[in-house]
Amino acid sequence: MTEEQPVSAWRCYSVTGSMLLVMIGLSVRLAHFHFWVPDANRQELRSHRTVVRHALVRRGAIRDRNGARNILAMDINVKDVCADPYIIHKRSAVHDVSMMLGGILEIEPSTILECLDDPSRRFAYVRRFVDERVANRVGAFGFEGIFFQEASVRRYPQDSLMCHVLGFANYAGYGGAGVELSMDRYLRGSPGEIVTEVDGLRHDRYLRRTMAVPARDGAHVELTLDQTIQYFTEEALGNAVKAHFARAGCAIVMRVQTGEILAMASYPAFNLNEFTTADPNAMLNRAIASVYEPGSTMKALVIAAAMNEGLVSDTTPIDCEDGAWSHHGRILRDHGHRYGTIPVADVLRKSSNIGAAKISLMLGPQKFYDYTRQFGLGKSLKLDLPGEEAGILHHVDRWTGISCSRIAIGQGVAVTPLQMLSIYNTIANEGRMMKPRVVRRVLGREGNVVLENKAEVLATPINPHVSHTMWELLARATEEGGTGKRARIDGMRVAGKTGTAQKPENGGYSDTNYMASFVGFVPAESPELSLIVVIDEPQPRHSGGYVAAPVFKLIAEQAIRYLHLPASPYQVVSRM
Amino acid sequence: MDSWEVGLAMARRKTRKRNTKMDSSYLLPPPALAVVILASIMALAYISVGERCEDLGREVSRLERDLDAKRKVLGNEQSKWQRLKSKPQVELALKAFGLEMDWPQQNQVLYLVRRPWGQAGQLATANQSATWGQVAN
Repeated sequence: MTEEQPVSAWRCYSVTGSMLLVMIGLSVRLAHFHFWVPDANRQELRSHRTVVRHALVRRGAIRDRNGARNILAMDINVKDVCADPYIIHKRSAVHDVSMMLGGILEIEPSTILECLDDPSRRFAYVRRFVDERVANRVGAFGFEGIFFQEASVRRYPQDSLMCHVLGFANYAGYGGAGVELSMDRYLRGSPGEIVTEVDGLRHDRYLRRTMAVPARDGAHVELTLDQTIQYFTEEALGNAVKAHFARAGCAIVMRVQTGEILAMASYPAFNLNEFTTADPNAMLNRAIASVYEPGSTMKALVIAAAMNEGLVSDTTPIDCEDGAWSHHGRILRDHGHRYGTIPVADVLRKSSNIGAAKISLMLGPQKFYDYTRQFGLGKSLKLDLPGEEAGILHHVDRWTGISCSRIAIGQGVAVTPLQMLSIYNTIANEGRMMKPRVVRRVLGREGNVVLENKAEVLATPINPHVSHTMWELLARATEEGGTGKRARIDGMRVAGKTGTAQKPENGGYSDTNYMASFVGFVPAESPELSLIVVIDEPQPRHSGGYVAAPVFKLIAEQAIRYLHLPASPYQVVSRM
Repeated sequence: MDSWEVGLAMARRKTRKRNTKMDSSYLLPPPALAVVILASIMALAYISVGERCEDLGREVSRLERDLDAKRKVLGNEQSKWQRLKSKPQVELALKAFGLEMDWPQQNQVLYLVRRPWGQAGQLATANQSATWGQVAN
């Protein structure tokens, strides 16, 4: 008994000791793996385990004034079809892959062959931005060496609608024109990034994330434009330009009291989803980025200014010299008409050049210049769109003896269609000149208001009494005997003025090329909407009354019907 | 009893004695044993909680991927819907079916106004466009 006990203890201690030694050995080795790894290996291990994932950031949507119901621009998710030419070559499947992919992606197999040509390459785009359906068809074939990359691309569901206002965002996600450019800082958002370790199956180890910055999607922009009114406007304008064989045209619809633009159309237009191949001429927003000599539509400004100064009233007689008047050695004519002495009201109704020129001389150059500046000519109206032109209005110091009389009839001055509309909108809005705007507000992703554009009065060049008188005078211009009778709308008085301006050419004026325009507002008694239509080089008929006034009528009629003027708010008819 | 059987009997006796001796003592003192057991339990609990966290992490990652995928689908469907209901598309469809229709006035359009969950929705008519007024509550 006494001899056997030490043997047992020795065995026990030796086994325990051995196991301890093994454990210590393993622990040391484990610690060595973890703590004494050479830096180069450590970096390599970390790079294998750690991945950086960039979260796709979505650009905010652009909506019309009715909000989320009408989305005009949005990001959609697509896929890039990519290839690993090395693998495809290794499988000797270049030809087969090219033929099959060509059929599905609707591109020439030779193009794909070119793309897969170099076997040393490990990456090539076969086709970018294909939709889910097409990607699934490609995926179903299970080509080895063909894979997909997630991507996001800007889409404009309405194609060319509102194209000049919306502008476009490039493939890198930056705004390139229009609202996409002016509101880029709100629309863009900020990309997210996740730095994380992955397991053996390359699955994200959530608890090993060392950095997780979520993508912050861009805010949504709501416009003041209404897509329905825009559609009416674009359709009417496009049809008129085609019918009159014109070069181009533009039209704007503005809400009188607030300066909100409800529609802004230019023709020709382009498809926003194919902006890279669009004709640069079609990309010009003629409503704000092109200037023209306005012609007779300037007469309303002259008469309003003279009335505001108390120099004339609507009944003041003006001698129109039987159609020809010499001033500073130059003959001014009332083309095709021989008016004698007529009241100021008729100067506007019959669009007498001589009458308007004489009224401008009553004002004098300095006052006339001051009024044109107050009405916003020669300077930008600070519209929230890029590319707005200031127009051309020389300083009064540079005016010649005939400048006053010529500017009064819309020559020697160049305006944008928006500036001209703004003049009539000011008259319609009891003398308050509103800042025009196309952006109503910017909404964050949670629905919070990030930016709200409120109505802003830029100037008050005339008083309300003069404004009311002008309503009546301009309404007469669309009645029987007036130049704008084709703008009349059944059941509603229309106030407006025609413009038929010869285009400047080689230091003089063209006898064949004209700008035909009509600008005005409805209803004449309580203006709600102001509109302008400008048609560039209509042929063969070229008068504003014949070419532009019917377009005005068409747009105004539909807008009135759509908006159910006069206004009243929504009514809840039943509860569910 | 031959020598083989005697040897076996002695070996059994020795083993029995050794077992008796081993049963009556501990390899570690009881307090140390308690610490080892407690540490083992804590280690197991730690591993279990760690595994649970990993599971939750995997679940969160999966839900993140699902949410992302659903957002993508929603975006793509919204785009398709906007295209389908655009005016030119509607007019094309009307033409295709030989229908002659006119666009409604604002007061002929009914809007179902969405309210927060649990509150009654509203059916509103636009006597005027959203341009001029807000939906009455």
